[in-house]
Amino acid sequence: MITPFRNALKVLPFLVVPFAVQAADLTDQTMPVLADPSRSSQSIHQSAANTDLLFQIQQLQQEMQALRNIVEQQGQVIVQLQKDNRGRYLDIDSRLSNLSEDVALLKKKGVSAAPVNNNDSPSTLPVVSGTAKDAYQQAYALVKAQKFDQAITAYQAFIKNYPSSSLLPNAYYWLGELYMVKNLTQEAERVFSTVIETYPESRKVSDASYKLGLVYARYGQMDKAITQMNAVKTQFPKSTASRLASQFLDAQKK
Amino acid sequence: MCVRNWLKAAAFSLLCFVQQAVADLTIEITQGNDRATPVAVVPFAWLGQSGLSEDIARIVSDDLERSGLIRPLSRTEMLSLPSQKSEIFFRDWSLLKQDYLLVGQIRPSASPGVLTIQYELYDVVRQTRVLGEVISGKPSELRSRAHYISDQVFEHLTGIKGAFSTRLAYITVKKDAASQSKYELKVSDADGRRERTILTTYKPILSPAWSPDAQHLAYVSFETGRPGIFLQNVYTGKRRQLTAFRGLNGAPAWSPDGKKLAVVLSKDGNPEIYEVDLTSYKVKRLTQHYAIETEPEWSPDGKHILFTSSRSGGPQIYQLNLISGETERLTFEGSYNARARYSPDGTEIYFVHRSNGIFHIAAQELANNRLRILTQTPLDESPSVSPNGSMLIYATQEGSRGYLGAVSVNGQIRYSLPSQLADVREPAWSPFLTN
Amino acid sequence: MEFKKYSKTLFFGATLAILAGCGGNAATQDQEEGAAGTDTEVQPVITSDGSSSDSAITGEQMGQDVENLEEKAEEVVAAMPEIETIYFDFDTSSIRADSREVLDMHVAYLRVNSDAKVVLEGHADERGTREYNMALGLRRANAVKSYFQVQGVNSDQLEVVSYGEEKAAVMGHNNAAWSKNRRVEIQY
Repeated sequence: MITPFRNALKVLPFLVVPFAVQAADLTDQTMPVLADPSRSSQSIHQSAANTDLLFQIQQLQQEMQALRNIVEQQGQVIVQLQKDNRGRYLDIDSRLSNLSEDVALLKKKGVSAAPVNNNDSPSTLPVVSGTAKDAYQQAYALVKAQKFDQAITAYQAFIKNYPSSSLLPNAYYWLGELYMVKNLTQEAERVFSTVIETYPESRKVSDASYKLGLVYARYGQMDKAITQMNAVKTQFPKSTASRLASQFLDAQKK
Repeated sequence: MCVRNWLKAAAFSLLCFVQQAVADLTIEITQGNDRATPVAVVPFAWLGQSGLSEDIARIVSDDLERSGLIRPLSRTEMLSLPSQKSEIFFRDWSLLKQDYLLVGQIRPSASPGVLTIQYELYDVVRQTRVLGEVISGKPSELRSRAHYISDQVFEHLTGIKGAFSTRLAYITVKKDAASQSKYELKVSDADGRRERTILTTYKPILSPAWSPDAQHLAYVSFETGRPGIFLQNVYTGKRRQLTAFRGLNGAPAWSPDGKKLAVVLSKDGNPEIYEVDLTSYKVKRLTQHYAIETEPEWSPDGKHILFTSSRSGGPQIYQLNLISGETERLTFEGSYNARARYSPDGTEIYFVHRSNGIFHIAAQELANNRLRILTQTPLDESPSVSPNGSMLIYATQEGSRGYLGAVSVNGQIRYSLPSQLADVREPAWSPFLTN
Repeated sequence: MEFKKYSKTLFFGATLAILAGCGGNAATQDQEEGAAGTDTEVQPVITSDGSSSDSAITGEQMGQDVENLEEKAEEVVAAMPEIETIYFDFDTSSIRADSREVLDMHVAYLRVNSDAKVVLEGHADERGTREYNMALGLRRANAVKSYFQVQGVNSDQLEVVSYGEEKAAVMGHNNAAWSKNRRVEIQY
């Protein structure tokens, strides 16, 4: 009969522990009220503290999970935005290429001449033949499909097969972009320089100049890169390249 | 005495027959396709004595109709019942706006107890035979032969390999006389017929999974009072317990080569995914997180494992790359996405998706993460893909009764397989049968 | 079973309810295991005042109640706790604050009766997938196990098992049924 009573005394502290926890939660005090010194044993504090820790861990785990959810969702949104952005860029670029082609054509024919139609004799369209345009579009489709290796081969073939095409600077420019993607920086430098030096009138010159700045930055030649970017800003004010160059320069200042 | 016993036995076997017929799942087509190809499946001529146990043309017609891609002509509309080319008046069938005509004959063969079955598919417009074959089988194999014919006709007309000769595994639950819940693991033909019970127990059974050779089922049974993963040969009934770890033993999934199982164990405290090698019996842990990790599924190329994890709070689908060890989250829409299955070509996943508090089956293309909801009932779960990738079977509920539903992966075709007698759940569609 | 004295338990429960300043769980246990044929009896109801555990408790109050409790200690520890089920929110294995007093009674009992063993049986409601619910039931049981362990219950006394959504306590497809099915049963 004695044993159960003793057990009762032993167990009492554990019975009251949870209320201590609640009081502590509410008043932010450790549990002095309950801790009758004569009876307070190490283990009351111990198990109360353990329970607190358990609940804290539970809470932390939940918070971690909630944060992970946010991070994962945001990661997904970023991937999507990148994709959308690339798609939009490629779309705009292809429209601009088409436009510049048309403009080049118009210039050749004289602005007053009739627009392109099927009655024109082939000799008036020596530069952009249907096949050259098709070949260019095919190469460009490979860029869109992110088949970079195949796109490089396609542009190289285009440059070889249509040396007089008005799209040649564009082809060089895209080849440079592709070399950048593939980390063939020296190759990229070569073709971007070709665009600038050989086709000074091409609308790709501003972009190529900006890219050349990025090439220098990749080499770690920051001074040279900054000089190049400043040159882009003065040579091609109001261009996209100029805006991108400014962004680059701003980033360097920080 | 003798006679009475005999009568009793007869009555008993008769009863068994009736029960068998009722216990089979029955099919109700709920939504078809408007552009289905019209095909007349004419009753096959029987050129033998006494009756035949099965109506082959009926089985073929039902199979084709269930696909949703073919619309068989009702028998009552047929003007004649030809069984070979000389009896066909193509004009009649083109008047009935039929594109194709399937005719056939069954007769006893030279060897006793074996039947010869001839079937021919005709193009009504061109009036030419496009398919035809002579096959044989015992009277007990007539259903299998009929499904075989369905497979051939379906593949010819749609270009999709037929999956009518495949099987379903599922679990039924019903209260017995003492109102105890009786769980049964069953296997039937893809049309719900020829149902066989391969395990009966008064403890829960879950997660049947077909081996790639369609010979074995892995499943979870609580028959020992604790969950264990069992492997059972569907044809011989031979079985063994594979795992009996402390805590969970669940969600078995076969690797495509059939040499490993991915399973869920909690032997180290928390539910995690492990790989069990069925030759060496080595157990290897694949995931580690304090959240729930469960419901593994092997990709068709064996290089990835899909699983459900609550590491971001609620359940979402993740994909583990077994080569790089990297884990990628695949689902982002909604707060509950679980138990995913790959399409046979690995380009899509199907899973349980909750939107607005309702559980549907959804599909998601892996290339663009686009999600589409396939089912409309509120408590849908356990999607399982047909081996030709065209249909999904899943578990759903009406009132308190669970039944199986089927939907095409494009969401256009639906049918259900209700059972008269029991709660049906956890369907698993077998791979193509190899033998 | 004889030593489950209603009056004592009732008193004990009421004391606890006052002490904690929170509503005890309404402990109406329906014929949960009817299918399995166990002889679960209908337990006395400890009425809840409906409030959650956020009302303040002063030190003095608590001190007095501790003395009361002390007097009753002998009776209390002899009794196996009457409430054997705690409940959870949807898709979570976090122990609710209002479950702690019930768990503490079991802690008290298990610490005194170190030869007593319990099976912690985790369950989920029918919504969602079966294997996920199996895992969820296990995590709920594990959460109770951890709670007991940090309070000094020997892990040899504890066993966890999950039945997922397979053994519903209450049949039905509504919130009332679901909330009764998301549970851990503490079985001696």
